[in-house]
Amino acid sequence: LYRSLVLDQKLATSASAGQNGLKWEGYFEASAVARPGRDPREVEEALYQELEKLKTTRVEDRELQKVKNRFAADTFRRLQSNFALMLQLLIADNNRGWRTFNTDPATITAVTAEDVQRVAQTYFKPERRAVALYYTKAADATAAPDPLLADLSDEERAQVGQMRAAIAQMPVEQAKQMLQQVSQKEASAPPDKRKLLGVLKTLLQQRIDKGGL
Amino acid sequence: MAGLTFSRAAIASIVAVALTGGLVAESTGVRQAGQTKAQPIPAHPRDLKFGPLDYTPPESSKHRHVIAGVAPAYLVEDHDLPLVTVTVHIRGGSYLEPKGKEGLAALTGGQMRAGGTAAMSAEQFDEEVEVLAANISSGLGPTSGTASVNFLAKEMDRALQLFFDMLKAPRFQTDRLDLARSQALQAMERRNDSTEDIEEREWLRLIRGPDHFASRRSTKASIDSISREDLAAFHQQIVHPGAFVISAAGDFETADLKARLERVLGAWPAKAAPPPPPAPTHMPAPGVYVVNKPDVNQGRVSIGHVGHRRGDPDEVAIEMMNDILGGSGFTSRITNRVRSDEGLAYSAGSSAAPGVYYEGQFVASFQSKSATVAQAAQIVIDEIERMRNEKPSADELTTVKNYAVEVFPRYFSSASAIASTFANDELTGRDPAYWKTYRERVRAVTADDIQRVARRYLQPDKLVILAVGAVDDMLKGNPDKPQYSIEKLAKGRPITRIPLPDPLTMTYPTQ
Repeated sequence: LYRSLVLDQKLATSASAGQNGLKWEGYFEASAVARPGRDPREVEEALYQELEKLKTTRVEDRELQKVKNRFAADTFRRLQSNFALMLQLLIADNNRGWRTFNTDPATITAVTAEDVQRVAQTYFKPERRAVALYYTKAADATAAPDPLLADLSDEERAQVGQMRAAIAQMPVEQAKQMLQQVSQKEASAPPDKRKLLGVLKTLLQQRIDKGGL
Repeated sequence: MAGLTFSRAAIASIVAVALTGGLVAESTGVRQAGQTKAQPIPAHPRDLKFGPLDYTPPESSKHRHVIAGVAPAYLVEDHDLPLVTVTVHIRGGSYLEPKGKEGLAALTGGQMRAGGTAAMSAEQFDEEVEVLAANISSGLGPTSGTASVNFLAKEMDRALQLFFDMLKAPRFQTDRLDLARSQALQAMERRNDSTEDIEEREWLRLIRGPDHFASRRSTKASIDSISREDLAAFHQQIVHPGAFVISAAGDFETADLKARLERVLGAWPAKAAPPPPPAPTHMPAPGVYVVNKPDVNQGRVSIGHVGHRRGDPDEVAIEMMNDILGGSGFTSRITNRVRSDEGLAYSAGSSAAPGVYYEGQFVASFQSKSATVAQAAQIVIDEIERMRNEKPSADELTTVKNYAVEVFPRYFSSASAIASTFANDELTGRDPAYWKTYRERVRAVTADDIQRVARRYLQPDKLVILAVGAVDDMLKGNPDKPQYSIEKLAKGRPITRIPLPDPLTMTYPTQ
């Protein structure tokens, strides 16, 4: 998705997909953020095309092997300490039972290109789909641009949008805690992230000043 | 900080990692300590029983091999997980850069990994690494470098081939080099932005002198002048088996891996290892130095002097002494006084690391709001004096000695920890008997020893005091506590103001 929508078609600033397998009904989610000036509906269409490709063309062996290798290596890398092992067991138990922790690697190795195509055909159907398009409100042409965001890149502005929403719902205590953590991190953050951290601090301070719960 | 979507879970995980960092090492240490004998799972963690710690460190000689007659290698098998890590430690670094080419070592180290190989373009190489799900990295620091590969055991053939292709014949593709150069220049422009960077740079200049390699910095001119050919020549000069120490850990058979390493290194002409890094000739001038950064509300302070070398007969006693003074977090005096008692700083402490190639440094450091910088600095200096004037309490001494003995197995907590501990020791010429006798030497330290080494090692009249922050506010101090001031710290000597250099040329304005 990233290669197609962000690098090749230059439609989006970010694109990704993930599956959220839950104990009962999970979901698969593909999302992308439109590049400024592009219509979110174009992006939606491009996402469908990528999903369609999985249904119609057999994924290349090399690409499938790459994903399997990455999965295997990352799984093992997550088990290198007792603490990490404990976390992984807890997570596995919460999903489909801790025993899947031992059986998943074999299951995943056994996946074939045909399997990938089959599940794409089973699950990627319009009638199973829920679609949400998020728009930002059109800026008031007479209003000055938000000075807080003046120094940020487009991508960072999008991140600030998300953070803003999360911070607005955050309990004050948590905002205080987070402000403390961000302040500590600030000194060691890479220079190009500092402006973003500065904005994050301002937002947190605003939340704290507003008071309430 | 890449994603920066701070969900509740993300915060929880930050906190979790911060809080449990210690637990991980301890639990693996216990496992290594041979206490895995299964006990029935008790109803509550408080019912867990722990026997006395009985631990013998591994023998370096059991894991040591010499590859192609020149390169020492520590190979430690661990078949728990099908992963293998091979690390090549390289003697050499920025101290070998020709004058005017500052930045060459860092670029060469980074571009080995980033710039492709003789056989493959950078893009092909990246893709191949991705397909193998391997992690490959490389870098060159001030005195040594490393290149490392971590891969699935079943991909040993291809992963090692890629890794050694990179190490032996990097392509140094020019578009990747251009990118790295522009990133270096961008970072350079921000050189005077953070007080942390300023403090580190100016501290090294004060302690090691402006001409020593440890304090040399790249400039726009030096980065601009570095060409692909410079990288290739520097690589030729320092990356060869004569400069290697290898460590490997994971799911391999020692004889097999050794044979593979022999094949690669045997066909690679070794040269003599480079000369060791030069010692500084500079004598630091004691006194108070300030750097003005008017836009910050906290001052960063370093207080210290030149220290001792590895192998010093008092090495372990100095370590214990510093742990009492400021080296062991909440149980140490500086942290207790500056942070817990007075609430003047989040982090305050000291380090007394021995130098490998020349004398190390003693340095106490903290950050405090501008008005209380002088008070916190005075507390640190008082504690340094007290260390010399009084013996430590029996409790303090027991705490630091127990801690050193109990955490000792951490150095060998996993196969890769064992391999890298021994490889680093070999690289830096540490006596192989060091670990064998370490705990005995810790246990033997007495309160008298602590005071004796404090008097020998800590030198209040040689202290260099550097404060980076809003100088006017730091000098003004706290009106409620007029007994503390930067002036008093200077003991009548003039306070030296260090100007900020031009970030691109590193020339300091004359005042």
